[in-house]
Amino acid sequence: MKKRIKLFLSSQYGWLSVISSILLVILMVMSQILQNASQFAESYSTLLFIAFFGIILLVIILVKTLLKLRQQYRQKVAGIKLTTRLTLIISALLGIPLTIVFYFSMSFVHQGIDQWFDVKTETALSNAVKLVQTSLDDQTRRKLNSTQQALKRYQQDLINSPILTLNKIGEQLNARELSLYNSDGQLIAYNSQENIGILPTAPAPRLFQQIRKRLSYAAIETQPGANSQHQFIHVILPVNDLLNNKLYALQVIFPIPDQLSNLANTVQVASGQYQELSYLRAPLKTSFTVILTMVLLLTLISALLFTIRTIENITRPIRTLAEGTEEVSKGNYSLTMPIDRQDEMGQLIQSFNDMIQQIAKARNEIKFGQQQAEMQKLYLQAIIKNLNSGVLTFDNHMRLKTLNDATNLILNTDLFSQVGNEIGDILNQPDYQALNGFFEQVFPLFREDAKPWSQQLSYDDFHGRKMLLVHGSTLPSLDQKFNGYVIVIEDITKLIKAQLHAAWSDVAQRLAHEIKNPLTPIQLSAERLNFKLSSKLEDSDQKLLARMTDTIIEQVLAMQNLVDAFTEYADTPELELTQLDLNGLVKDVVNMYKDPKANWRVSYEIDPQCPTLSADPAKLRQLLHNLIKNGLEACETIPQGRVRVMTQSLDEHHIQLRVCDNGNGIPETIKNWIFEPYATGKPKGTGLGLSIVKKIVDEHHGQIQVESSPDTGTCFIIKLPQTQ
Amino acid sequence: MRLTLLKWLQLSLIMTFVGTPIAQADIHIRYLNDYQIDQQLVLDAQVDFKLDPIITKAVNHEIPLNFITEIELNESYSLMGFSLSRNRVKIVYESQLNYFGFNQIYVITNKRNQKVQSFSSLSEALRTMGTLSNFNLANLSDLHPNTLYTIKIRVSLNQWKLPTPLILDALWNSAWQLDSGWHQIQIQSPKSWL
Repeated sequence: MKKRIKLFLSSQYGWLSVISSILLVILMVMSQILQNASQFAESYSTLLFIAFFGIILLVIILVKTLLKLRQQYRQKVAGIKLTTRLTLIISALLGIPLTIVFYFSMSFVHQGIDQWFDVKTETALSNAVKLVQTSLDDQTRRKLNSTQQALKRYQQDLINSPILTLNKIGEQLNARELSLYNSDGQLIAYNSQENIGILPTAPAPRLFQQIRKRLSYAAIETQPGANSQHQFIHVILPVNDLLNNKLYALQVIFPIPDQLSNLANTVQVASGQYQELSYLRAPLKTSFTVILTMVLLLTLISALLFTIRTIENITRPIRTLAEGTEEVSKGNYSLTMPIDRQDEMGQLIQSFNDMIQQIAKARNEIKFGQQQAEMQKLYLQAIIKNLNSGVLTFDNHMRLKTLNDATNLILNTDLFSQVGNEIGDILNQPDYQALNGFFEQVFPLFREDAKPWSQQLSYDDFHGRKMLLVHGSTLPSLDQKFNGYVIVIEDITKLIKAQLHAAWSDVAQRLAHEIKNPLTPIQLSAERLNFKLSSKLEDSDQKLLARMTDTIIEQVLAMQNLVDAFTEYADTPELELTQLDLNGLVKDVVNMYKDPKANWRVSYEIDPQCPTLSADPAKLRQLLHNLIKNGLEACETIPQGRVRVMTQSLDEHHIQLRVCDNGNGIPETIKNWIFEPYATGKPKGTGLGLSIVKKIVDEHHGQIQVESSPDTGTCFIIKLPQTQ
Repeated sequence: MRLTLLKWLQLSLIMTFVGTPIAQADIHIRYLNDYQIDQQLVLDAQVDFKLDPIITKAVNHEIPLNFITEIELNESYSLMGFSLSRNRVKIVYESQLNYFGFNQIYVITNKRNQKVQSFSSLSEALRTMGTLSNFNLANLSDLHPNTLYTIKIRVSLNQWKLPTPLILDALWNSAWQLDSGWHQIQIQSPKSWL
């Protein structure tokens, strides 16, 4: 039981309920006291102060609660707006009816009190008092008259034998008490029907003075301190003893008849109460007003406090939910909100907790998936980046999305700065003009059926023509429509070159094997034919035969040179490496082309610091001859052709050899193919010169490049290692 | 104790909310004399009552008034150089003033000795109530001849015994704040009774 009481008091409504209940009881008791509950009258003042300070306490609690609400409103505590709004609404809903009830209660109380004191009641009561007083006065006059008559009759007997006469008069008048005094106030004789043996109360001195003046006295009197129930008729008459010249006073006490006495008492009490109440009319109104005001305040404040507490209790789960939502919005998914109720709000919070857990779980899964996707993306990016094939992707608006290094390398451009730009805008820029032809070929290949395609294309740029194998496909999307394009570019130039080289090597070997062998018998047969038949023919026929056999022999020699060239191209003999002075070799070869009559000139510029290198002198000599011949052939249409051979020591391990002419340069379309057999457009030559040069450079593990332009001519740049 | 508490509450309420200053007491101690009769210390005092018309009207409407008379005899002594006072006699009693309109009499009831007196006029009743004559205070043998004594008297209206509805008005209206305050005289036994 004690625990329950403690629990109740420690709850939100505990003390408030206790205070409100006590105040209500106190106000009820005060109201009863005001309505003549005189047994509690002495406690009224105490109750008044307790009620007063109780109301003050409630006001303080209310103000404190409102200040707390205000502070929470300023701090924007979750749910406070709803609490405030509901509090205002319910306060208005409570306050207005209570105020109306208070107003009408006040009016009724005031009117009720006023109606107690209407004129008719007051007049009736006043008349009743006068009636009773008239009746009593009449009684008094009658008793005075009867006493005077009895005194007149027994006056002399009274003086002579007072005791007997008093008895006789008393019986005749039916008086309660008779007493005879002399003028000095000394008791002479007395007679009493009730208190025999108790001396009567002497008249007041002022009454003796009246007796001495020979005046009679008759009045209704009350025993000292007593009410009308103890009233009596007091008659005092002067008694003259003319013989002895003395004066006596006869005092007669008459009882008032019970019926008249009761009536008089009732009227007196009613009159007294009415008088008291008539005076207390205004204070009564004040007191009832105060009590009603306290009741109003108690009701209103208690209702407000209970309302606020109740609303706070109702909105607490909403506040909890709002706080939880705020935490979730900040990314805290580990939150679990407490559930302290089993109602719908509790279920809502439980559902919210479950939802947060589900979101947290889904979020973790998404995060894990994102990490996986990111890793996959990085993995793919690494693969694509390191691919030798170029990879380009475009979105469905033809904006460049991604590309790798190999793309730039294959297309000899830099597209990284153009990521995000539309392909049309990219191609309009001067730096990317060379890509126009490529993409004009590529984009029409994307088909609506989204099937992947592959196509071998040629790509021409400033560095020559490349053969590309291009694969294309559209990128899928979630809605099954294409989401862009992907282009994979493979540079197959080297592969094709290798295939060509292998084919030409095979052709060369076949030529060497199938053609070279019959040439010698053909030549010998032609010579023998000329020798045997020449003497048997006439001069004209002899000349014809000689011319024809010469032609055969000449063509056989030409074919033999051609076959030798092919043999040279196809042959892969072991290099005979020696320490070669490249400068000396250059000088020897260039000097062989000194011809003052020619309209061309071959010169050399050698680097004295150029060291010796490990190389096959015969092969390098052939290399120089082939390049100089190629240069001279390029300068045939130039009035002053010039070929320069230059050496240069690049570093400790490499030597550079440059052979440059001032011819018309190499067309860009064949720039990449000039080292292939029969790639030349020149009418002369075997078409194998530069192929053999490339072969010799490769055999020496060197590199060869060509720089060519129509204005400056062509330069072959050979980089040879110092040691093999 | 209860009266003191109620007085304090009354004072705090008035000072806090009404702000009306307490009016000068309309009960005045005209004189207070002491003398000795038959080895008894007795006193005579006369208290004048000047009632506001509001109160007179209330009396005439048969509202009973209770007046508290407090009489103290205190003994002064010195302890370690400090002057202290010790109460030897304390008498507190109430007198009730009633008016009976039917009989048109004023009745005074002394609740100490239950003596009742009736008067035809209010002034007569008040004069009688305010007269203390031959009031026996203490036995001289209980007092020290060389000690200084103080006699104090105070008469006030007991508002808390007014009819309940009138209490609030009495608290807020200075006319009802009837209090003579303490009136005291010092007596030294040799001078007084030797």
